[in-house]
Amino acid sequence: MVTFEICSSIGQWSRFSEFYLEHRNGIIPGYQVKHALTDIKNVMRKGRAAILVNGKNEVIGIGGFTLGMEENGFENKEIAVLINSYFKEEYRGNRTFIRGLQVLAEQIKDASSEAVEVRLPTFAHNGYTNRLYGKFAGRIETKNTPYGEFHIYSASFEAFSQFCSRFK
Amino acid sequence: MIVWSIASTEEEQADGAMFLCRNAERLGTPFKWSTVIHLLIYTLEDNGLLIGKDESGAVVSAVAYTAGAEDDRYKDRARIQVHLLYIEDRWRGGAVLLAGYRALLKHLRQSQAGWREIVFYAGPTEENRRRFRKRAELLKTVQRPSGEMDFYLFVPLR
Repeated sequence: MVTFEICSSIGQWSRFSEFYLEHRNGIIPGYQVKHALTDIKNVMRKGRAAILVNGKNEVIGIGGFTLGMEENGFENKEIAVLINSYFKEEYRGNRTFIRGLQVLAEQIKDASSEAVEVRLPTFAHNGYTNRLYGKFAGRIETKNTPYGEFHIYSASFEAFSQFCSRFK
Repeated sequence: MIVWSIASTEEEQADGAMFLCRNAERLGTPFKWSTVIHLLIYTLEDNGLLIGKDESGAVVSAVAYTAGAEDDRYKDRARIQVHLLYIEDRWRGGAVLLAGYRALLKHLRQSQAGWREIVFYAGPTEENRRRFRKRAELLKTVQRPSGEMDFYLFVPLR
């Protein structure tokens, strides 16, 4: 049984941080520690995150979002940007990822009544997320980064929320 | 025995940062966790994360500093601020702290040209005051989000 904990205490945020650092190379191959720490800082200060915990109280995945985009100084809070989500391999391929998106949709709604758009960046070579995001969002941009190409998908919050609701 | 060294590789930096994460609730820092993460980013940019490893290679202690201090918004880079110092319980009470202090001074002399002094916060306990006032000057006691903290200045002998 996997439970979702919305990070609020220092204990939850530090577990989120440790998991993100430990799996940074799985999230993005070659991802530098200082870049992972910057992601963690941004989501703590400008968004929300969740840890996924199994029956043994082990963190097995993370997800989160920021309100606003980093390149705009997080000013445009009508756009929620999902951060790099990651699950341990044995928890992939089932409904856990979709359940995570449902939790994020609820949290976005709760965090901001202004959020009208959801952006979903994903590594260009991640077949699963590209296929999944393509079902409810349009690809609006491809960015070249030091770590490779990233596709940015965009959906209205309504479309994102409705897609997530289909699996409830 | 603990061997102190600068976390210079990505793997060492991650090991040091994850060690601090595992002990987040025991660090005794005046900062919020998001500020600790923010400071770690600057620490890594200044090459200022020292880690202590035991015989098995596990990180059991860490010191994080920046060139520049919080109270003047990091303008004077000759002032070193030690933001975090944590040693696992089982290693306390011996010479580990002294070894860490020596490793820090050695590293500063080798890598931070022109540094002048070290400042740091500590909890305002009698034990801390007895320990730190032997070598450092208690500049002020301030109210932080986490409670009252003493702010010390240490000027090493050259």
